[in-house]
Amino acid sequence: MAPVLSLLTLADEEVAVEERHTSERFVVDQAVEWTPPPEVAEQLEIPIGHPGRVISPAVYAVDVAWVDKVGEYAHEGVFDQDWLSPISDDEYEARAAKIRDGSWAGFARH
Amino acid sequence: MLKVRAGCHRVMTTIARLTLSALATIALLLAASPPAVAKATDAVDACGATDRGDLTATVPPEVQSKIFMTVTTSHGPLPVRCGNGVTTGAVHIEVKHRVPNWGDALSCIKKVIDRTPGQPNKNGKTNYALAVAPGNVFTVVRGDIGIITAYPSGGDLENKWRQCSVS
Repeated sequence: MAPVLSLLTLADEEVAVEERHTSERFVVDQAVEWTPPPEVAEQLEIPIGHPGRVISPAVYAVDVAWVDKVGEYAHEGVFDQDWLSPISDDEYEARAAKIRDGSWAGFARH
Repeated sequence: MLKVRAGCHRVMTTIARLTLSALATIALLLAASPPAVAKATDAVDACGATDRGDLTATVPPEVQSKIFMTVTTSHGPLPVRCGNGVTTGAVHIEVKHRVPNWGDALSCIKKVIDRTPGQPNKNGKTNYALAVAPGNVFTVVRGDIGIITAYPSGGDLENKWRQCSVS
């Protein structure tokens, strides 16, 4: 009986992996925050929790317009959907206002 | 007593035969399985990058904008730059999306761009998606700087690059 259960578990995991690789979690214009794993965070100059809006949502190629000091910042690359988390529009607006009123210099200054 | 011994012998012989048969089947399956496909390291090597082993790589800032290869498409030649190893470029494509070799990768990227109209977005990038086989949808993103990323859907990535190249 045990081997059958193992096979079923393996099949479930494979289905989960397949879905993870093919299902888009986001829609265009959705508000998101930057929540990458540490190894990614340390290599990019985007502050953790920074807000943005999804421009296009392909699984491993989410394009995001990040809130900048003035206007928006278009990073030249694209992001894995697992590096982003959805936030509400109200949260997006609140964070954007805080960024623009605060002392952060903006992406252009980095 | 003799009957019991004979019965035991028969059972043990049957078990031994079944075991041998199972082992022979496993050996046959292993022999018939395709060999594991290796991942390329050309971009990491050419760009002087360091593969961090976590699907990202560190690329020296001074080489990130250098052209690793060029894809000749119906839209003209498109550079694949070294990139930053995380969100864009050849090193990122190779490390994160497990390119088996760049011959297949260039052929595949060209095919996806030439055969699909592409969807431009307001950030200046264009997304191309082509279903090359059931369970194998290829995505390519192109930006002002050239090819940003390219990848197949699902798992078994190395073989899907090859499948895309020869389709």
